[in-house]
Amino acid sequence: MPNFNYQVEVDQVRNYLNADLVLLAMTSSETNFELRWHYASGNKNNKYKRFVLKSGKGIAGQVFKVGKPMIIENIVESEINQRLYEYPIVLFEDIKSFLAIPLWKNSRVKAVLLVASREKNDITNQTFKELMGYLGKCFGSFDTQEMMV
Amino acid sequence: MIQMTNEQMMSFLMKMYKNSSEAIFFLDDQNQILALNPSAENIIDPSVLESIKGGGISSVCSFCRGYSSEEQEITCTECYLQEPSKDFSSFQVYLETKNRGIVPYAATYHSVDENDKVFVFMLRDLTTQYKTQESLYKNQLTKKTIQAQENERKRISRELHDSVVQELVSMLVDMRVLKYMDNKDSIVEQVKQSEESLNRLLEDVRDLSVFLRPASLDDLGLEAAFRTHFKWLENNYGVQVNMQSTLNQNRYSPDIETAVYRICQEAVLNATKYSGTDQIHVLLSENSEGLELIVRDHGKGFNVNSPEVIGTGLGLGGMEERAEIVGGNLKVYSVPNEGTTIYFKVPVVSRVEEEVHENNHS
Repeated sequence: MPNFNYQVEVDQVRNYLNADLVLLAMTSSETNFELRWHYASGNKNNKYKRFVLKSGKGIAGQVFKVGKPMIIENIVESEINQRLYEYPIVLFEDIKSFLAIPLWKNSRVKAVLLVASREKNDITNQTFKELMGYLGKCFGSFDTQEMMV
Repeated sequence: MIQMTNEQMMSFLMKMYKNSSEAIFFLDDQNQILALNPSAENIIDPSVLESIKGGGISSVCSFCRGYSSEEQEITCTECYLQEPSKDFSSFQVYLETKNRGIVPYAATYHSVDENDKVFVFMLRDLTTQYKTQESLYKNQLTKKTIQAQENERKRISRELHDSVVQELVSMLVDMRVLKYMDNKDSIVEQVKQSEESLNRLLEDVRDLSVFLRPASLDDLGLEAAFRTHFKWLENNYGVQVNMQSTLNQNRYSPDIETAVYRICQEAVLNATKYSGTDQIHVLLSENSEGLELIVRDHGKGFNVNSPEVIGTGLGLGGMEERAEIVGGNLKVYSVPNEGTTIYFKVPVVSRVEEEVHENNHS
């Protein structure tokens, strides 16, 4: 899909879900793998730009690696509360609940979309359903589902 | 309770005096020993005891080596014998003993008769208690060390399993798929994907190896190793480390480089995890007294005297141990809500001097 403006789309997702923060992480190039947050809406600061996300580490890394959505409705009561420093984005953006979904290209995860709230129990399974309903089959050049070839 | 007669009481007290495991001395206001019980006789060196009994010397000072005050472990300033007004109901005193050298005792010193100015000085041997405490502490430390070691192994094993093995398996699957492909475009696409996987794998292995022991520390020295490490911290934890270094020389002896690197790494990681700020300042400098490292943050801080243990509880102790091994001095200053400063100083011998030294010897 040409001329897909991710910034506008990220803003719209945030408006639609009435969320505090939406972030989009993408891999930078095909061969030299580097996953970073590229687009943000509702961010408190620009620290998200600093992180180089590692496959398997942090929210984006875990979703990227496993290829499954991750939903934590209340971080304080979750098991990650003990090692929040491994989730710097949670600390710096003061996230209390979030969901993150993988975005696909050629049956590989190429991006991660994070929807977060600064209130606990604000993001739930219901939010996930709404998001998937809103996005439909694709988001820009990414598929929202893993396509079986 | 049965009413006791004075005679009975006297006989009890006499027996207690004779048989007590506590050493009991009666002293006058000139600190001269008036009487001592058999336990007391037992701990004093026979030659000293003889001269006490013979009336040659009869001062406690002949076998006392000082007591523990708030300022010093063994001291004679404000001696308990000289300052009876101060509270000496329980304190620690060091005595020169028969066959055992200088031994700590728990002591009490107070007057028993104001008018006649008679004082009692009672001692209880602390050696057994000390040994129990020491071995308890050692056991706990060993337990924690073993636990930390196991955790570290677990982490490495998990890292290998989760990243390296998985990526390799995925590569293997890619290769199998490749065998059955005949369309050139899809082959190219597949190879691209594999290339990406390989790059990721390469990075994971590199990270793991640097984390275990940074090669740059051995090859390029402290500053280079720090720069790599701080970049890694910024990428992974989003903290910015401002390093200022005014080191005159590039290389120091390996022990010192390792100690400084690990202490700084621990201090910065602590600040990253617990201070709540994303700005950490590191200052490396050298003067005539040695190498100086200062790690400072303006974050949450903590109470140095009774820190609330959040992590393994090994961090600060580990830093102190590393500092001690290289003969350095580590200080931790922290004020709640104002921040923490770690101050480490170590005397250094430069590599050049060391080599000259070695050559002279050979």
